[in-house]
Amino acid sequence: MRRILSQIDPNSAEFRANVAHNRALVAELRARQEAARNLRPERDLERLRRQNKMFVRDRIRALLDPGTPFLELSTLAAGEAYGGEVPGAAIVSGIGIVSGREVIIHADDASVKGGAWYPLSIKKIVRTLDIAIENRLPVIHLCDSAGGFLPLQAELFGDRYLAGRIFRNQATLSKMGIPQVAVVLGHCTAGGAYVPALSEYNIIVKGTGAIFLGGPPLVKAATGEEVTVDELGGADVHTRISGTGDYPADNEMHAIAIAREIVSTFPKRDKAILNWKEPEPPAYDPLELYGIIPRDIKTQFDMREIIARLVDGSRFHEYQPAFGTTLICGYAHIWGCPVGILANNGVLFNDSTLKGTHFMQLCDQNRIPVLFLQNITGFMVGRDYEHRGITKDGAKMIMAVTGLEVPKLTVIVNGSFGAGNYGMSGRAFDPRFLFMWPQSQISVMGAEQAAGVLTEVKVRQMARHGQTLSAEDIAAIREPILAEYKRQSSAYYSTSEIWDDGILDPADTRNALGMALSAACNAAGGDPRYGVFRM
Amino acid sequence: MRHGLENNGVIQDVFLSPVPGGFCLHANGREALIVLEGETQGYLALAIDGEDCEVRYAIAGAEIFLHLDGRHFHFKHHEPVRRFASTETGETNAAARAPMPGTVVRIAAQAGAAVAAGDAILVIESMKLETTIRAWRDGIVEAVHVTEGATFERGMLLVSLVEDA
Repeated sequence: MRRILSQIDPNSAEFRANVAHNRALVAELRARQEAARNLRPERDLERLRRQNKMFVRDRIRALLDPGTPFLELSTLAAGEAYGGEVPGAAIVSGIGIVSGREVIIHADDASVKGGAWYPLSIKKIVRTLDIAIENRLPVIHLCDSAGGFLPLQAELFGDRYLAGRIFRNQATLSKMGIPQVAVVLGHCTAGGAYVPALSEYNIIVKGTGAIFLGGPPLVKAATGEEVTVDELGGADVHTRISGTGDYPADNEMHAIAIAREIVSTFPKRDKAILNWKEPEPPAYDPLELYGIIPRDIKTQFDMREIIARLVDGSRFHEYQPAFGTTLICGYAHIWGCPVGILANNGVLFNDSTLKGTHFMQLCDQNRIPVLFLQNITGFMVGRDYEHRGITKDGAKMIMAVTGLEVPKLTVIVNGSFGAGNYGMSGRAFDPRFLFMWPQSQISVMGAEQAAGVLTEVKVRQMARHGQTLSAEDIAAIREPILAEYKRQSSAYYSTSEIWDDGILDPADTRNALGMALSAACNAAGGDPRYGVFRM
Repeated sequence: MRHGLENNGVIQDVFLSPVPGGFCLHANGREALIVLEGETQGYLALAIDGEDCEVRYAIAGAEIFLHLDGRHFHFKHHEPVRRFASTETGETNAAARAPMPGTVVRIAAQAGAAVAAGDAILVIESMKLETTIRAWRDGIVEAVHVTEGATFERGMLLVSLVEDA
């Protein structure tokens, strides 16, 4: 397969200015991640030590096979919510290797609000279990939660995808034959009690671990019975008397060692049959991505330059290179795994839309996972294009992206605006994983255009009431609208709301995709089957 | 399809096919059995038709440097699709046409200016995207057919280049 020949000049002023800009963005990302992972008030860490508990990161380190990679997901969830006081939504989630098996981990972070579940914590756990279901990954739960955060109970309990979904997903995994291990390292109260109860295996740490539907204060209020934590739902009670727990552990390290031993008994399952190749690093340094991603989201760039820095050997077989040139389609390998790539190189026209639809069906037919690289301002608008059926062609693309049976992965490389997000496998289309780059933006339309529309509406409203506005008045209306719109379009907002599975350093994207593909290949997808394409 | 390996300006057709116990090298109308006996970064221990040899190598893109029996060799790999393509890009075009309707944001090179391949000539905006139209080869800007701020339709002539005299 041919190498892409890069047209980039790494010595140009433009390249160097981009590098400086993007390195600063990556430094900010790293700083935010470091804070979300490790920065805690001393009193919270002190409380953990007093309780004889390990910090969640140390627990995960002890659990994983040394020297293996850990793909952490949604590190910055809730980063823009709850006044920034619930880093990571008080949950750590990620894919790693335990006793030589690929697993996904859900770990409560008791150093944040005692591990209380906020609405976004619930969303993050449900997403973690959705990933387990879609990619057939065994789950390890590290349980240490104070329970649902009561002041926000209305936002975390009643609806379809809220707290109950955690347990529905656990039961679904079990039905699919995908095992779960729960390690009870703190209290599992009320709904949280079902996490270990619904796991195939659970381990309780003596003294600190406990499982009960109602804790001692609630029991006293309900029936007047006075009972200690240990008598009510400690390790002895559940592993000797009730049978709710399986293995007692003397301390956390003991519990984690037992968990690793349990995982070592899991059968290793075959991955999708694909023509894996010996992995080869890209011929162009992925660090050069910093010089290619433009400083202004409006500036167009050639997505082949991005592909050249993500795929094995920078080798890319481009399909229909002369047709529908605003959508690049073609085959490549990432860490040895074959992928079909759809990458935006401009607005989607009728021809590029049809090419993308056709190419997706080819990938499905060949059983090759599909990678979407989004930089999309939308489908082309205007009379000519409507007459040629741009809406109906877009509908075909959405039909194909929804129907795809092979795994889909999406990276929002730059802009993700409007219906283009749908055609290019946005979150609603169930890509197995969706990642964003730090400078990327996602919204129904661009910030400037939206702020223009919203301001215009307001100005007309006021004009109807006889008010005339000066240029300054209009600017005073527009500026806050624009600022809020920009905040809500940013990658940090998206990742805070868990619209994605995390923000990636562009230079790390290849590694993250390698792990994501490996996980996705546990579930190949069924035979190709589609809805009706409007011709 | 065989690969082309260029050495001293001559391209040889070569191909390696897997056979039991090693590979069969097809070159110069001959076949040789290659067995890989040892491998570290930049080093191969081979048996070619039963004869042991040691090769040190470095690969930089399409360039291959070999050290074998005290001699140096420099090869260039010719990928078949590129090798047989007569035009990889539309380099012979004399003009750039608008890929879609839009507006001219900026004109960077006026008529008469000498440009090198890759130099910016004008910047257009369409569907919220700014695209720089760059010189697709060295030449002189014959004419810029639009003005700053002007809107244009798809397929309209934007800029034409002539060969450097």
